[in-house]
Amino acid sequence: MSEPILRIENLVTKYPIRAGLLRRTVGHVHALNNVSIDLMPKETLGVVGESGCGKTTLGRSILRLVEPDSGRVMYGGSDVLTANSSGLRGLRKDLQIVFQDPYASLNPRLPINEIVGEPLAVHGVTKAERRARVGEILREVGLLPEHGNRYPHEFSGGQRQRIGIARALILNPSVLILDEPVSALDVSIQAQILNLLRRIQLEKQISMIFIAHDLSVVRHVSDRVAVMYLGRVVEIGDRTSLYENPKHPYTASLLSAVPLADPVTERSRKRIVLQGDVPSPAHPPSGCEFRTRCPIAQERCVTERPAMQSMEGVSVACHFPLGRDESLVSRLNR
Amino acid sequence: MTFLLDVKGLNVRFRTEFGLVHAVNEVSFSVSKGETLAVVGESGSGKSVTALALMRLLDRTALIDGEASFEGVNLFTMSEKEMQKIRGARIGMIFQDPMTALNPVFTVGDQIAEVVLIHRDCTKQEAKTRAIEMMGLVGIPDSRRRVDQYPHEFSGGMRQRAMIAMAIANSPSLLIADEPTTALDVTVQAQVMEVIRSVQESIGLTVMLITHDLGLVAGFADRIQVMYAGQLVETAERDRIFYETRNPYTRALLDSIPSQLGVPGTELKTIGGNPPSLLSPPPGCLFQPRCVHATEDCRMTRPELKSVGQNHLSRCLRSSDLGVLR
Repeated sequence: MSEPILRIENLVTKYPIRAGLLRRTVGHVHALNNVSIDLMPKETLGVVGESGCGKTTLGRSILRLVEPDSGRVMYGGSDVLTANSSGLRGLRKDLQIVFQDPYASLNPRLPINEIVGEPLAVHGVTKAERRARVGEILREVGLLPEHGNRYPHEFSGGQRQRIGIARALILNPSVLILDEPVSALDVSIQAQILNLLRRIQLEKQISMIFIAHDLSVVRHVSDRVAVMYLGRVVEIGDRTSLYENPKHPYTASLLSAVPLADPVTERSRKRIVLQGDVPSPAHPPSGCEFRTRCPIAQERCVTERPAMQSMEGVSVACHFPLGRDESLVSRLNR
Repeated sequence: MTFLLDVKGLNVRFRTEFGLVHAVNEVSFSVSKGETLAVVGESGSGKSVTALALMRLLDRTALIDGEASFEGVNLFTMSEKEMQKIRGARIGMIFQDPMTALNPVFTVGDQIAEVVLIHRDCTKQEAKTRAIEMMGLVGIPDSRRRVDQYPHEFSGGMRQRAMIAMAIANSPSLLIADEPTTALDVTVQAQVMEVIRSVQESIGLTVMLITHDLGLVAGFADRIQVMYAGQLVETAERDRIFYETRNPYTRALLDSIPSQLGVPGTELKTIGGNPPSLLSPPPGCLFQPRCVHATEDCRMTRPELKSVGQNHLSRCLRSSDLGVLR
């Protein structure tokens, strides 16, 4: 077993809740609560969860685009969270991010050459070399070097996302964090971007953290998958085990809610429709966070938070995990 | 066979500073009583514009022609006053974003009751009772208390339920749902679709579901029509669209979804290029520049919507020689 390229250890990120005239802090939302994840070299780790589960905060905390409150993010022997500004600049060269909205994440006043070449300028690369590198990278993401003189508004959504990817790749990072990279795109364009990411990974051997709410997309791109709920990882494991035999009732119900583009399968499926909404992260339930919506919750889940335990190749935080070949439907009928 | 809604030759053009945008072109379709028709397409395909045109909710830059007969009257020729009696009473509509569709300064109950008061001769108290009843029907728990709450006190899923309650408060015969779950999480989406389905059964509603999500359609629609670049390109009963696909665009769309059933990590089939500009649509087939089956003829001749089977229409010059596309 090789060493992880990135180690996230007990990461905690809190957002203050401010109220009243003086905007005093009256409490905290734990957007990330003790999240620990290892990213292995060359793998794609998918992170799924519903809105408010902390998946975007996770991506941003790793790069310190939001400052975590505690924990460690170990990369190449140093901790990203304690690095000083020059150290951080060096680390960010290796750790890059692509954002969700290709309409909002590109400066409308800059031509593509400058948007994509900016990271090089920050790292002191000369203008001539920048131009050459930008042309090269634009070609790699399926655009043309002459596109470099144009402005973001001249491109479609899919092309803009390619530009965002080019900008992230230009420093040859070893870890790429993708925060909902295809959710703003139409399916036909989404497939183009997913193929592009797959090709880039095969060629450049980079590790990816792929954050998305779409479970089908995550299944398609990931080697391993982490499922988050209310700021915690509730299940993490290799893709096949997690999708085919989910252990956590949340993973199982999330998968059962995904509509499949196949009428025959849809007709034969037994769907578990979760009741209610995700509770407010400002007032998480006692014990297990998921218990308020969990169809198989018991007394113990109210009082005691389940610890992460390994079973059959995955890690799961549940007192009553589903067994091998046991589905949530069969547990409910037992 | 009587149709609840029968649309013939619908054209919608928008006047813009660059010229006329042909958003919807010669779209004809009908919806039978009690069925669920799904209109599927990507952004810019004209699916939402079709719905907004039927509701007469487009602004003055839109030029609409065609005929839309609904319960025996033509929606496009009636006066605005008559249209108001249909909107919200005979046809209900729900939109994608329940946050912007609700007024933040009125209680949810007031907004549902308002719809009732406008269309019915009843007292405020009766309207409120109706609002509570409707909120119960769409599964808003504790509706007696929540009727007096404001939209910000509702979660996304609850807001969409409130929108559905509002849309069906006057027992319409047709519900147009325009991307009703796109802004919602998948577990909440499952809840909302369940609500629409149960309401449909309990009050015998006809539903026109507009969506880009073929997964949603697979479990929910009776019939599907696929739109591309403002045109209807294929329409059939649900299973035929999925298993006896005849139009190359429909096939390409189905292939580009990373399926829960497919092999992960493999190259997805994509549709190269982008949809055409609707300012000056090219001659010939509009999908031809992106189509893997295109020939010289496709570049020159605009295909018509032709019958390719029982209640199955496809717009493709090569439909007879291509047969079923897999």
